[in-house]
Amino acid sequence: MLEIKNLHAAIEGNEILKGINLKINAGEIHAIMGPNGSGKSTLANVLAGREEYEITGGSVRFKDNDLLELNPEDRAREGLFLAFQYPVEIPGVSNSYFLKTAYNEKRKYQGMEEIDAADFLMLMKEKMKLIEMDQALMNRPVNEGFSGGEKKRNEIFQMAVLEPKLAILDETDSGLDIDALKIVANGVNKLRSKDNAYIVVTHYQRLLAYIIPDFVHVLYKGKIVKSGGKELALDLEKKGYDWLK
Amino acid sequence: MQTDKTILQSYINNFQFLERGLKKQSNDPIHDLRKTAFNHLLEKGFPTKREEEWRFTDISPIIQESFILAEENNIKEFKQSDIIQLMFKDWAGPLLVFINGNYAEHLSDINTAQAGLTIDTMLSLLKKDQKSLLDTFTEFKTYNENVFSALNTAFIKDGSIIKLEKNVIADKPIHLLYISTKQEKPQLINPRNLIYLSDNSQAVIIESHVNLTDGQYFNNPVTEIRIAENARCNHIRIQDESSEAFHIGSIFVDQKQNSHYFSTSLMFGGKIARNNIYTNLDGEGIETILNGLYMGHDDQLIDNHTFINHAKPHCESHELYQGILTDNAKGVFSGKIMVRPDAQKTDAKQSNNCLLLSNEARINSKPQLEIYADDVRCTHGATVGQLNQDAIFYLRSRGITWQRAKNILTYAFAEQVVEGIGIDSVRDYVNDIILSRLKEDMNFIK
Ligand SMILES: Nc1ncnc2c1ncn2[C@@H]1O[C@H](COP(=O)(O)OP(=O)(O)O)[C@@H](O)[C@H]1O
Ligand SMILES: [Mg+2]
Repeated sequence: MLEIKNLHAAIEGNEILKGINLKINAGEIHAIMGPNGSGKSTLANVLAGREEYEITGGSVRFKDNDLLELNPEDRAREGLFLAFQYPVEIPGVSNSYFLKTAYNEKRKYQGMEEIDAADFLMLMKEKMKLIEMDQALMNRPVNEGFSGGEKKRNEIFQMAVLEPKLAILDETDSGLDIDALKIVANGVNKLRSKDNAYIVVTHYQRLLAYIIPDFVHVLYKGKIVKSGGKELALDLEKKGYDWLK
Repeated sequence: MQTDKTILQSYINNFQFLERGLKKQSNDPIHDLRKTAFNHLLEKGFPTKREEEWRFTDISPIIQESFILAEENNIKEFKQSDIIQLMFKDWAGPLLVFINGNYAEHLSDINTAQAGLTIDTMLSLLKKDQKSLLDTFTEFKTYNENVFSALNTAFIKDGSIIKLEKNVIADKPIHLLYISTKQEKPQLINPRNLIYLSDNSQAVIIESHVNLTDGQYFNNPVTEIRIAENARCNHIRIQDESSEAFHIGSIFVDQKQNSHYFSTSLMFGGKIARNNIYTNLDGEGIETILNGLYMGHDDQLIDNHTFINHAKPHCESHELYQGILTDNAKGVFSGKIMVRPDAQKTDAKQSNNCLLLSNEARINSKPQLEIYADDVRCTHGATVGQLNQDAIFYLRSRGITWQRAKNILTYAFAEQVVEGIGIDSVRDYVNDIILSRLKEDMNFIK
């Protein structure tokens, strides 16, 4: 599904990613952990196509594509999804309008007809139930005035509607209380299948009790310094990151 | 301020031409008003960039052109099907159609069944009841305010006259439709509208200045609105002139106690387009809302000048202007709020925001608050900027193309003004213009 080889990326001349290697197959869940500032969000944003980052080396293949050659919208249409660490507020654009537009763009890309209003409403209802999303949030402008938790839930809700092949959840757990965390994790677990894959970025192991990863990687100063199974997350929780230096 | 004699000569010729056409009617009292206004124009000349109010708006392309007065040539040739795209869909209210400044009776519908609402044209009223018309004019004295309204007064010919008696609520909105067409020589058109709302009356008036065929002309309309005690006026003004046209509009509003004026000014067209709104809040408990949207592209210059005169205590004014400029377009916004010593407890709020979608687009924004009372609340804010790049990336990351992402954000910005248009067919018409500028269709907002 995704193969990252020796990826280097810089912002404003500072190299942040210093040779990332990672292979993800369909059906897998990978956790990426690491202290603040280690480059987790940078990796997520580079994969999503954020143009401020300069790719200084390496390659990324996503399905049959050279990912780095695709613009952000085509990456999304090919099935990549980033749940942002800091979702953006968009005044004046309603959540439901935004999602319907996004959904139809994907359908068009796949050569399908646009969905009509009634069918879209049904789809919304179904997905809202899954994430226990408040109906009132749908008619409000995207993320505007949402609480931290509501924003994160909205990200997962969008993911549920768009059904990506590869979803990157960037610190989705931060800002969520334990009940919300369980709901979100439960949603992810229902959505997972043998055809899709997840990268779960977090620096606490808390979330990983609910979304059980197949692999855990430690990102430190722009490099993956250790990889292992789900027990690695528990080790990190106990010992912190210092022992990896 | 002295204007070159050769420039004024073409106006002198036009005035003489007008006088010859009037024949006996040149003894009418209205013609004294024309002459006074014309002398005022000759004396003052056209403004230059050295004048504060015209500093950012170079009108030399307008005054260097010589225009001819529009004649009543071929109005009859126009059928309703020719102008249908300039009308609002399924319009059931009164409609006054003017083509190149001349009233087109066969395309209009002013037979209102409603008692207490009178709709007439300037030309017909000048014949019928010049005295009552002049009584209203002399109270207004608007030719003193700027030379373009003097120019309009000097060439007064036709326009819309609307009067509501006490306690009358106009049951349907009224559409004043000013259409220009391409002529052999560029024409000068001076529509003059008078709107009079007596105590406790209400009306919605839509004034549109649009074009049927591209071409150069100069449209210089003046609209005077008097709103008596407790009366309410919703005034929507759509300016979508030809891309080669010049448009200078002036609106004079006089409000009495507890009255309400809600203006939505939409500026899309013209090579050089300016709209001046002067509101005089002459009474307590008045509310004034001035909303505006301007969209400039190519090498358009769009200028909005507003002046709010808070003369009495306990009045509120709210002003929101949103601008969207791209290509080489230039925008000017000047919003003056005067709070006179008497006007305690004034609540005045102004904001002007402008989106610059290209590196070349420019805006000159000038809020001017002059406050001579101490117990008031006045705020103003102006923003100039590009679209939010984080928001664009967010939309793109969900599969929305870059172009559409920009359009979604641009439309949301425009909508802050458009959503205030309470009549569906008018809002659809305006949305159509906005969406065609964005190269989107109606599906975009469904
Ligand atoms: N726009 C930026 N400009 C300069 N430095 C940045 C920018 N964004 C991130 N960085 C730097 O890159 C490093 C990695 O940041 P980030 O990827 O956000 O880390 P993490 O998500 O692991 O906490 C940090 O040192 C951060 O300061
Ligand atoms: Mg981060």
